[in-house]
Amino acid sequence: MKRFDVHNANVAELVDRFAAICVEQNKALSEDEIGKFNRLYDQMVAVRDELKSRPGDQRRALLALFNHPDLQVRLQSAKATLAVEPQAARQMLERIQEWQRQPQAGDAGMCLWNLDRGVFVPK
Amino acid sequence: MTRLPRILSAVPPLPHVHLEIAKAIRALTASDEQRGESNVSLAKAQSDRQLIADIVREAWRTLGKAGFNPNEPRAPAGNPAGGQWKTGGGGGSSNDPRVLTDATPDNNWVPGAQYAANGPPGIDRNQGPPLGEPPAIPPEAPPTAKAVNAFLKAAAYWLAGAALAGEPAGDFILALEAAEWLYGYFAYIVAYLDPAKTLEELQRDSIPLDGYNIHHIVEQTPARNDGDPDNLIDSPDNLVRISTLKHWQISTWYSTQNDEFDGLSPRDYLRGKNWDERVRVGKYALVRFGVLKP
Repeated sequence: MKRFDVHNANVAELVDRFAAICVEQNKALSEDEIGKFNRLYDQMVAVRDELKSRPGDQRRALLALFNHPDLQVRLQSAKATLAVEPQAARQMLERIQEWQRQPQAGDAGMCLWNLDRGVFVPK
Repeated sequence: MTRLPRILSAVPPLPHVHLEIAKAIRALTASDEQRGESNVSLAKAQSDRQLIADIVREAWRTLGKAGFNPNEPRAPAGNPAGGQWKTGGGGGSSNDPRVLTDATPDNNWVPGAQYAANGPPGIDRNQGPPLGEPPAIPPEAPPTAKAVNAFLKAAAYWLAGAALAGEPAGDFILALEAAEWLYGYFAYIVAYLDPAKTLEELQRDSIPLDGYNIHHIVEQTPARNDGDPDNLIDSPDNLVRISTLKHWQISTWYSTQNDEFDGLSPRDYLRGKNWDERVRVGKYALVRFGVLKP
């Protein structure tokens, strides 16, 4: 991927970047590229944190990704919006779990379980 | 194994024909009310998944009768990082350009487009995003173990998704059957389509079998590193036989960073935790990845 300056990007560009990273994550998962996935995870967190730092906490803009055709994008955008839109985000996670399309369904299910037992407290 | 409907014995012994006829029979025998619904019930999805598994298994058995030895080539006992097949060469580098396919559907999402954030998620409201086309089947064995693994996962995931979404899968099964290089790997695809089992069933199935791994509910290496004794780690209570591809999925989940553990991987989160917490996480992962009945 090309170098991307999160600090100078607008919100729409950050959302697109978030989606592109998650699509790459899904490819990394299918090719057993654990190291690559984890590097992409760090990039995703940088984008998410940049959105959080924008006035009004712009993580809400990631709700637009709830219709994305790639399940990994939906999964990560749901997790990233739990702190700001808990109801919609949780509903998205529940749907991903119900669809049973792995590995995202498993990840969503584990996330819901850890939310319910207090291990995951979105911030 | 679910027996195929008797009527299927009167049609040509082609897996894809059996599958489509079985689905047609099911549709015809459904009540008018059921037929009018767009929702595909979980029970039906499970049934379709079982049907696809049975048909793939039957195709595999037919190949065995034709002289094919399903025990060669053998598959790995390793994890995604190790994933070594006896055929197809060693694992490729992380940037290996010869990887043929993956399980990711085409991304036709338009960057910057506006979507209704709270609306229904696309046309497949009940089954998620459209499944997309099945993965292209390489005409010959991919040159690397990594590429073979990627194809097996893509094929198995697609078949499981097709069962859940009610998509016709017969043509794809037929194409799989026609790819001679895949004969040695059918067991891995079939095993992936297994329905969830009880813990007792998974623990009872302790004999190694093609397509399956003996999986430690509490991961063995991290447990050893934390000083847990071998007799606990290798106890029958901690061992289950599960699909190799599911084993890889769960191992990958353990290895990858995750929001719910404050950016740590589950494996790192569990470091130093007590045995009971590791068991809880290990068993729940089996449930959520569709291996263990809730």
